[in-house]
Amino acid sequence: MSQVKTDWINDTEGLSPEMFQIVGVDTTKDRVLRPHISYWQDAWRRFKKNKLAVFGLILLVILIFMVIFGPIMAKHSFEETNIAESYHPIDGEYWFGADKLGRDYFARVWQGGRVSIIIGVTGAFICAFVGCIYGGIASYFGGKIDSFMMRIVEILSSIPYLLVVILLSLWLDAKGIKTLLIAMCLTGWTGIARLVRSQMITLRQSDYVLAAKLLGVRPLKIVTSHLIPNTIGLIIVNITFRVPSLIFSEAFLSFLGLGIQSPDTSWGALCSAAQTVFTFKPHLMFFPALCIALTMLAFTLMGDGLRDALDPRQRK
Amino acid sequence: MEDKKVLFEVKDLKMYFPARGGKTVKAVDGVSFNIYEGETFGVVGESGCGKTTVGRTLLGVYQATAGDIIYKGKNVRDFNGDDKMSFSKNCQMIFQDPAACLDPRMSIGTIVSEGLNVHYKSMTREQKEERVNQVLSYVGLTSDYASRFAHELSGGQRQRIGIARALAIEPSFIVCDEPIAALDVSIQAQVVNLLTRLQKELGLTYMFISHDLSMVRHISDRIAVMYLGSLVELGDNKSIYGHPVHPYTQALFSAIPEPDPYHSWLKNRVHLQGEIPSPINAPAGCKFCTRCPKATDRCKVEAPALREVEPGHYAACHMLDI
Repeated sequence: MSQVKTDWINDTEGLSPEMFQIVGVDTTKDRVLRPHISYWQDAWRRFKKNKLAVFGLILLVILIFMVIFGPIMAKHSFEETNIAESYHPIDGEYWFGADKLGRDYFARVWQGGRVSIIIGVTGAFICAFVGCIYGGIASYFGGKIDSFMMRIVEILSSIPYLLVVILLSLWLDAKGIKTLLIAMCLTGWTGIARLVRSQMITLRQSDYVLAAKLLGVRPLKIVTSHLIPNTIGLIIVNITFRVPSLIFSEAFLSFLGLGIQSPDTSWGALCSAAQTVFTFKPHLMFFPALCIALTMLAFTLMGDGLRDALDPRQRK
Repeated sequence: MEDKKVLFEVKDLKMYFPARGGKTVKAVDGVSFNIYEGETFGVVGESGCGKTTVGRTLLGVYQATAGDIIYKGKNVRDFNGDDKMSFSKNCQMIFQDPAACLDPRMSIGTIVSEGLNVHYKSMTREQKEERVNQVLSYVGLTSDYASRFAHELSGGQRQRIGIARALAIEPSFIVCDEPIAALDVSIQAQVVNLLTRLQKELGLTYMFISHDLSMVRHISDRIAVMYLGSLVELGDNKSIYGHPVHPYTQALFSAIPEPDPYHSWLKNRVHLQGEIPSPINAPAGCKFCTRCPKATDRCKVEAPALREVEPGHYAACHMLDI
């Protein structure tokens, strides 16, 4: 086994140095011509390619525009009662008709949208904020602290939020945005805490974090420069999926009478009020229900698009 | 070899990991070797034999279960804060997977200058930029690349960025953990040639971990052969490849693909039977005894020690007694 096999080097029969010439190296060819794009630009480029996601985004922009300016555009205030106009049909004066107390339904739908979207968005952000910190701490310390913190998460996520809402509204003696938000956030952050924890644990074992450790980068700097930026995409996607579920929860609770109270309103509260007269005035149910459906659709489509755009593995 | 300065002295290094059911994985089980300044120390062996663990334990990624690592005459266990900083400045690593070793959210410039922010705090922004461009040119990339992101580069380019990141802080020792395994053959040659060129220019010491036997032969000065967490043979390139004495090394080398179908050594190829045993319950005695074609009863009870078969060439086998 000792022989070094070099016979092929000398096997040059029929070859002569004249047959070869140096072609040289063109150093200019190695320059990169494609304009460079950052991570977020790349994500935006891929998001734009997804037609459904762009549709979701446009739908959302329209809905938000209407929610902000709808009550101003209406000819009557959403609180202004006028018994004479009770169940006024749809016409040029009352674009969506009027409700039992003669309030302008167009103004009420968009006013209710404000409450629904505010609850959805702030709720999702609060959940994300708490969940990130909690999941981050659990994964950072690991071991016993991690398993203890995760047991708490399991207990909390096993409590039905309906129960929490009822208990809270009794305890705080108030039904409104604040109670709803507290109740939904109390149990809602657990999902994102789990997600952040598992993502951080995966990232911590990645080669680039190991490389940073070997370079002597401090743990806190690793968290801020590697772990958080690499989790943020996941969190954004989770927020967009969380918003519609919170809007739906709010609608559901208001429908049951546990949510927003009159004269303030939300889409769920409007649906709830409309169900008693559904047979005669179906449009009173139709408009808020359509808004809920469209908002949820918009957020879900956009979330889907964002997930694909922000996932580096989807890159083509 | 004697006149060379010892950089690393590893004595009876053991690295055990806890496994399910209270068992332990003996990833590295009593390994001793020296690494001399300026050499390339190759480590070969099958997958799962503990090559990577040795490299990582050497750099302090894992805390060794037992044994000593002596770096420039000082035990790494006795390191204080300053020693640790100088150790991390001088000892770096190149990773196997070029796709996984770069943060997808960071520009190449940020990645390469990551270490500069730790070890060269006094540098101005311009000096850092200049340094980044300098290391990029070391690895054959232009400064255009500094503003790019990992996903915009090819596998070979990413691997070169990984090398540039390690080089930026001017280390003296680099653990190359299978740096070519994830690359295709033409890029492998590029990267290996780059590594040898840099070694000549910058006077680096390498620990080159690989299962590519031909590549290790090409690049290494001395070679360690590992099997199931233990060293079976250690020596300089010529003696290991020229006349391997351990049955495992012989079997391993006879598996190197041979381009000449009429070559004589094809006739006496050693075919190993069976699979590599699990490091959770490694065989007693010689770890290779379950697959060794020459195993005797003694091999099953008594673990052979590493002994010198000729100057600078060590092997662990009972057959060498006779």
